[in-house]
Amino acid sequence: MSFRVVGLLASSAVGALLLTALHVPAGGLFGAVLGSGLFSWIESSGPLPEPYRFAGLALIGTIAGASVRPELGAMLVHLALPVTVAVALLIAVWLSLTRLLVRTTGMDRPTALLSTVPGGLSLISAVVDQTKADLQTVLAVHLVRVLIVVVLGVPILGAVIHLFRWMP
Amino acid sequence: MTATILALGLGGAGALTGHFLRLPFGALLGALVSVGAFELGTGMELGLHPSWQLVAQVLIGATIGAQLRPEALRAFRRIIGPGLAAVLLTVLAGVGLGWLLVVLTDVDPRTALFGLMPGGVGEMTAAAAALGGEASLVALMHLARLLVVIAVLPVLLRYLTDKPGRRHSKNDDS
Repeated sequence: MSFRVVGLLASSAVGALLLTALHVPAGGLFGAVLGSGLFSWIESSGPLPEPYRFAGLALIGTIAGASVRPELGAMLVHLALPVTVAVALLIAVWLSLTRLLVRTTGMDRPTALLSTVPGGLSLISAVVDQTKADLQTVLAVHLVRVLIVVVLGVPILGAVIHLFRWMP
Repeated sequence: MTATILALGLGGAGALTGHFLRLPFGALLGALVSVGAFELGTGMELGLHPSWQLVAQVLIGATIGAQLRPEALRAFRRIIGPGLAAVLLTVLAGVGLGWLLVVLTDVDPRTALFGLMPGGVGEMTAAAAALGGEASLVALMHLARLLVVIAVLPVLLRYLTDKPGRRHSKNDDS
């Protein structure tokens, strides 16, 4: 295991433990991103090797699978239509934002479309090679989106949800 | 201890299967299906100790944090105003739709909000699990979103690149 991998994981763990100890909502994830982000910014450590990401996804999938309840099937049926409508609306927002970026920045359409797609970064990385889209811009916009969601969105939503649980 | 080993073993096998079958987010989906199917089929609960959740968060968080480098954000600086607006609007749309789902159905707020928040599948599932939401449902909602995007994206890309290629300027109203 190289120094950069050890450093990334150690800084991630320190951040996760610190913010969990401070009772920050979803502090584990938030702290892990902050800790490893700081290390990466300073050391320019490069991406984490794929096996570690695989292990993280496998573990979270295992945890999610262990939380499956018999009512999940009924919940999926009950939510099928609302979630379908919600996803359709998200797609509409995506296309509107593509137009916004094209008009306000002069960005080419494929880059704008891929920059605003509400999809996984790995999916986008697989597709961008087949287009004339600007990879650096696409990746930068998605990185900012994920950072905003994890660093701001998750703790704020967690705090709001926690607050509402105590309201009459 | 036995339940932990069984859960990790099943999850690992499912993750590898999902990966080799080239499913979207195969590791996550494969592990979820494998462990979930075992629990539903046997009635046995394979809950993992909360420390495993922290391990998952460390690994997933490190994946994101490792991408944070000055050069990675340099491209964003060129489009910072509209780029930030697009990102914030995407996030707000996800939160707004999640809240609408809470109002219109009886789904738990943590599940609805993290199920529609436009973050990564792994990250949102981990966040939902950390906050006591239905992690499996959140993962499935995100995977449904990804499947729609996978289906629609090639069509849109082809449509956009087949149109006469021209760059729009700020003053172009057509």
